[in-house]
Amino acid sequence: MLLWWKWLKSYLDLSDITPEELATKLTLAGIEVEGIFKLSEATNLVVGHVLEKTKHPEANKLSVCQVDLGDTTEQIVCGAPNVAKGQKVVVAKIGAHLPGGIKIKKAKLRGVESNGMICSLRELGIENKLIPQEFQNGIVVLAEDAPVGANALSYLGFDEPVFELSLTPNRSDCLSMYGLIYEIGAILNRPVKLDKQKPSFTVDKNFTVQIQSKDCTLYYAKKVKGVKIRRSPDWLQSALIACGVRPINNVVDITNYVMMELGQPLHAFDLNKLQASQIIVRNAHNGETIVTLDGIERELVDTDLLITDGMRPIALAGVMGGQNTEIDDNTTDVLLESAVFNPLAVRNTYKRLGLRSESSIRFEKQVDPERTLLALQRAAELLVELADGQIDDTLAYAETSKKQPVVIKLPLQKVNDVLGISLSKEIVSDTLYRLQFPYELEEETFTVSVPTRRNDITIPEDLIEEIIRIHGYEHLELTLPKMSTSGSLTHKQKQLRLIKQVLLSSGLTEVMTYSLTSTALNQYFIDKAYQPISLRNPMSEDRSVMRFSLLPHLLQVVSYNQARKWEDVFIFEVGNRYYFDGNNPKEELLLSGALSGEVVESQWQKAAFKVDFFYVKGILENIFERLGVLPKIKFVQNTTPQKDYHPGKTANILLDGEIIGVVGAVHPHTINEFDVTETYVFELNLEPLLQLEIETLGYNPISKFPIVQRDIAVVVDKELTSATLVSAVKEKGKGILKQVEVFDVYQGEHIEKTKKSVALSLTFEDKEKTLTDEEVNAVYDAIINHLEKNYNAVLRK
Amino acid sequence: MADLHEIAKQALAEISNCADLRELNEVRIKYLGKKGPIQEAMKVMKDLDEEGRKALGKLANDTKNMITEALEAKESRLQEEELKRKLEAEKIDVTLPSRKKPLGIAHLTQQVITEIEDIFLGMGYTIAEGPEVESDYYNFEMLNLPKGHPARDMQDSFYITEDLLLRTHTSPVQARTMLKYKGQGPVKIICPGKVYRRDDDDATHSHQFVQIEGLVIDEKITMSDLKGTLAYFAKKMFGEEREIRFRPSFFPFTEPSVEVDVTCAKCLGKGCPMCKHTGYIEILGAGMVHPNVLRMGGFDPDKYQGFAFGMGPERIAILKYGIDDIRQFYTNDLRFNHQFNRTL
Ligand SMILES: [Zn+2]
Repeated sequence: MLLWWKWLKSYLDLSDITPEELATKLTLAGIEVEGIFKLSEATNLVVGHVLEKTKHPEANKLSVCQVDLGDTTEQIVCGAPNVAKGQKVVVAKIGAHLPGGIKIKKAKLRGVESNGMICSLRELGIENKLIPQEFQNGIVVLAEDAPVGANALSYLGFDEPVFELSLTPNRSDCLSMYGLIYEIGAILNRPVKLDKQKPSFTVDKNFTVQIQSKDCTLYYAKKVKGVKIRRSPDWLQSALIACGVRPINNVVDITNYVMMELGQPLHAFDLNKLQASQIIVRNAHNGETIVTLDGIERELVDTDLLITDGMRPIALAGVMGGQNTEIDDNTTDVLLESAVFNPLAVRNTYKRLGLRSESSIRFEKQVDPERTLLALQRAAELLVELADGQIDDTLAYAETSKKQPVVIKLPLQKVNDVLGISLSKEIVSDTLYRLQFPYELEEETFTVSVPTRRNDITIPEDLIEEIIRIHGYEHLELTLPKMSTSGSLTHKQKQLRLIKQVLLSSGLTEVMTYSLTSTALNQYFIDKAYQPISLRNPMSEDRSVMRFSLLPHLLQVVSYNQARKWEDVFIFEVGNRYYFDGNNPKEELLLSGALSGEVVESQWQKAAFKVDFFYVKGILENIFERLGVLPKIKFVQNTTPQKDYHPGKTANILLDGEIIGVVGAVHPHTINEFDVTETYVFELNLEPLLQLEIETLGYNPISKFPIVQRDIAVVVDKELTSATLVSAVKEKGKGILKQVEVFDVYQGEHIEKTKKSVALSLTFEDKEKTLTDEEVNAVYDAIINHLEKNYNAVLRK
Repeated sequence: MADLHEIAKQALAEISNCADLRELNEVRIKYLGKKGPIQEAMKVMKDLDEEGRKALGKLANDTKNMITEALEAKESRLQEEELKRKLEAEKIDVTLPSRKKPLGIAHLTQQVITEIEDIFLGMGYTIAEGPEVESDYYNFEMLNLPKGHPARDMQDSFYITEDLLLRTHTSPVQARTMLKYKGQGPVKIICPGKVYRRDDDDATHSHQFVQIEGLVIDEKITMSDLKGTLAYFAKKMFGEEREIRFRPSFFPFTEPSVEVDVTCAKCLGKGCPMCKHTGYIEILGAGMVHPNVLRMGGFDPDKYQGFAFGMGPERIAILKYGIDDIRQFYTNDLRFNHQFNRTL
């Protein structure tokens, strides 16, 4: 919404306040001023009178004009096709500055002296879309009575500031000058009373209005005869341009002007183009069509509301008029419409057809029924004044329901209970008076009759907002809620923070990537059939489906950074996967990571190593250990993993025997497709991990007796996993074997091709006594025996 | 007898002249060895009377002790010197780069979330979570945004089915939480989470971002409590010198509704280019929970009042660090992520 200072000050005394000061007050009262601008920043412009126009001797397209500037008469060469003798025009004098850095100097144009410039609106800085059609390709021609020699910008009002307002959706009352004047009057504590008594009328006997739809509650039609279509006066055109509306002709301009002034959109039909003396308001039939003012044929549905003359549609209610009854240069008799349409119906129609207009947005936000007749009368009077129209006191109308006025009971106690301060009756009364809200005060309770212009106010809380907004939010106290709650993280939230800590201290950087992805990317790292969650209205194919794995985006991050020479990328993300479980959307929290490149501890000491499977496994084990679930975790070789994993370097991660994730090298094909170097990834479903009840940690007394260590090396079958071997050793530990660790695996010289040598370090301990060699040997021998017998192991000496 | 004095004198002189442990060892063998001068001097012992033997014996012993002591003293001094030389030779350049495994860095958005969570945890709030794929009912209707409400246009949404959409704010978590409490206060939660709007991604818009909303419901919660809470939060988050102000606004789920501005970091309210001369920077939206929302959440609006607020951690980070493009939060250019390697 645009607010023109010149218009505003014709209603309110603004002599003691600057536009900037007012803007701050408005913003703090909830009417946000996004910017203040002037329609024109030009200087040194006067109204000129073209006394003489002759052809330029050397140039066909140029005219030489003698222009009366009030104090002098100057010769000005002009290139506009529409310049003519007798016109009042805007002249930029020598020394004038125009927008775009143009400075007017004495000049010779093809040998003819020129002392100034006759301006177009564009040269003054007016946007193209606001320039009337007839001045699009030439100079602006002012009204005949424009005062010669006067400052042209002040004459047009283009030197007055315009406020750009950003209104919240509830404040439709501020979509009109009247609404803004009430609002600003309240803010400045200068209340005004604008809405006048409704005019009286008699019912037109020769014209009828019928409403046949629930989407129209009030419809007035009034005839204005004998109008002369012409340009509107300059003041009216200026007001429209300042409000962002392009002037067309006096009839259309008047309907727009009254809409800006009162907030009630109006429509003008060419009365003689109606095929019957009636208006019937009804819903469209499915498939019915109307050609709108813009010449486009619109196919309609039955929720669209139509204005018809009983024979055919003549307008899309509140959205756009029909071409068949359009005002044109030959129009003499006008039918003015002022009506109340259902906001939802107008909204649905303009949204579907893409016909958002000043009119439709006002209907969408609900117009004030108290102004419907006022606006009609105001427009009719302006048509008499500015278009030579003739009116009588008749009009046609129909009304199907009346809006009940809103009356709200507001105890003072309630105001203070909500705000947490102690406002007096006087302050509340004063604020209601400033807002021009009629009220009665009985005991400590206000009974407020909300003016119909404020359709956003329906409950006591709305009034409380008005009171504190006008009184000032700076009057609130700074208190804290008096309640005894204790803040703490849930077990799950704590565990999650812990997981992140382990990853961060392991050198992995956290990333956040989008939840939406493309269908193509959503094919990677998917190891089971599932029903994806796809958008009905995506903005692009790249973001059209909810991701099932975080890994595709992580690989993209690896690729992005490696392409920028950041070779060593270690990242993780915690985020949801999304899928349909039947009809129910499901979300599972995943922890995923990607590691690529070298862990470089020191450049100059050459302390660096390539990330491998075991490095990643170690990080995961640290997480499991911190979470207290390591004993329940197993890494199990997966030789037939999902296609994006390396079949020889991938493991399933099992929690209590259930697969909760995968860790492995990325398959070379996938490596190529994402354009990354060798990369290891993991993806865990955190849900079962975070839900697990963890046994409380117990203390084990430290043994007072020394430990005994024995190493063994056995040659076993190559396929025998280290996990199997270790558990075989533990099986025979007889309670004194505390720990078994693999410290070397060897294949090669002296070892058969199908075999490998595994070296294990065994730790024995007894909490009760010092172990003797005999006791250790007995267990040790039993272990060897077991391995030889059951695992085909050969002890290496 | 004079011999022994002479020997001692000579031995001490030689000891003192020793330059290293090897020379010292030679001196030791020379004087204290079996064929050394003291043993030699003792050969006359058998020709002496008892008194003489005693005297000689004592003298020889004293001489030996004296030499031994001198040897030991010298030895320890030499060892000390040798160690010193060795240590000097081992000198390193401590300004060379260290050897360390680099630490990872939490995502900037998560850092801000954690910071905000901790402030509110300290004020007795708990953290509530909920689904990102939501029903229209929880996302809109329970928040006083019935179908066809024009304010729904404020949040253009990604729809999955007629009824399912990607939540446009974390308010549905508040709605769900209210139902969980079955009309019994107090409620005191914050809800952080991802939200989605149908916006084209550009420097200031993102189709995905994070929101943290707060909700407090109890019998006597006032708007002054809201202002006090947010003033406290702003001081903790942005600095003790910062103040807040309320500006009227509109949200369908709160009444009254306000935008909350914090004084500009640079000018503290006086006005400067950074705050476009307003002195303030908008950081969050808030208000008193609308009675319809309380009612739909199962709370009696005649008995309970509440406040709610919502903020964007990314926006807070943008303001705090002067980041020029919100897309940076999702690109994960590690040159960006690694800049935020400390808290505050
Ligand atoms: Zn500032």
